Amino acid sequence: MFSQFFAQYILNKGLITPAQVQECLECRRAVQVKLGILAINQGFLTAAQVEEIHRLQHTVDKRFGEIALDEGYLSEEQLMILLDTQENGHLNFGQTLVDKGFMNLEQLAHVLDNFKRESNLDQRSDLSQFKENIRTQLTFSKEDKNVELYYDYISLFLRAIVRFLDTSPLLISATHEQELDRWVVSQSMTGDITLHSSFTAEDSVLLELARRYSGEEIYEMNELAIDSTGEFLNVANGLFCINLSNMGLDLDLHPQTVTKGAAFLGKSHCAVGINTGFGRIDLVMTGA
Amino acid sequence: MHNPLKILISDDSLLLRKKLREELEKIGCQVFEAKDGQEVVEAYSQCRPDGVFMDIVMPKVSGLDALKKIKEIDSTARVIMLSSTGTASNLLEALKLGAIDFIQKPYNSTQIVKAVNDIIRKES
Repeated sequence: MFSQFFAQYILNKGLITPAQVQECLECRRAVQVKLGILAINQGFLTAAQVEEIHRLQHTVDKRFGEIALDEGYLSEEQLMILLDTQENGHLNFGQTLVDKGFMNLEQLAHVLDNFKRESNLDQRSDLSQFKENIRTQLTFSKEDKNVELYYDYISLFLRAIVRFLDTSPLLISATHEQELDRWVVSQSMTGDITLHSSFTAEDSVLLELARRYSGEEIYEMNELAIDSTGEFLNVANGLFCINLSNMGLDLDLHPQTVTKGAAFLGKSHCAVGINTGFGRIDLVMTGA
Repeated sequence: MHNPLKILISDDSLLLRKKLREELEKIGCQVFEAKDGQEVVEAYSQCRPDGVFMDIVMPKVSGLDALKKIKEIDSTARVIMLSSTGTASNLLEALKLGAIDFIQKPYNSTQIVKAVNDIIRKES
């Protein structure tokens, strides 16, 4: 999926033609990403350092990783990270671009850098900080195999609130009673893992959420308000999928639903309360 | 005086149709709307737009199936797909079916203007 988002980005920027994107997408599965590109993506090496190692490979009979260690360009720990990442294969599209001569390493490094910045993918440390804060405030059962996924999801959801609703959310304790007369906004993500996410709130809170997200003057829970709450979840989940794709996990989003009095999706679930500054939202996640 | 560019937009989200209409009208386009994959194919036959902006995930008929049908009606149709996310196979399928661009939501004005320019360029 990282390939897909990166391919979209390159296509939208007009950096290569749709036919070239198609060609790269078609053969990317057969390509193994080389350590040089992975190292550029992780920010461990510059394109010039990778070129230098490639040049040295012509003079000494050693592998890329060995030369990088010898030259002090990579630490053993960094090399292990790259070898682990190589198995995920999520940079195949970038490798194919270089193999086909549509871009050189330097151009790819530049485009990857811009792509990550514009997609907020370089805010991993910021996200890790968010996640660590959440970990200190929320404790989930260690027996639930989806615990890390829930922490990741809550981090992304809170960041979407900051980004799209212009407020600073705070985690508060969850309610275990679901009020049946409320609107429930839900969406499923399936693929390498399954996650259903839903949120609910009083009408006045959803209305404010809809107003802030859409930038429209909305005064009642009409079609535009309902649609705006659904789109907020859809876009937040889209960003979650992009972040997971960078970790090599592919997920598809299903159409979101906004239904009054609906039950939360899934059997067992994990719930958190969020104080948005304009009212309380209850967020519920269910893994499979 | 030039005729305005006719653009057909198809998305099941009222908000996205409203926002996209505003963006397109701001740059002088004449906008037609469809709410799902079935409506967009019918609307295409009726209004023969210069370009189409279409969501991938739509009720009744998906965006990809609608793209295929539109291409059967008019092989030169200029269609831009919109998506909040999707699979690489969706992107590949859209390109294979002849979509000229693929835009990730949430999009901005610059992406829409660029896409409209692409439509104009393909037309000339």
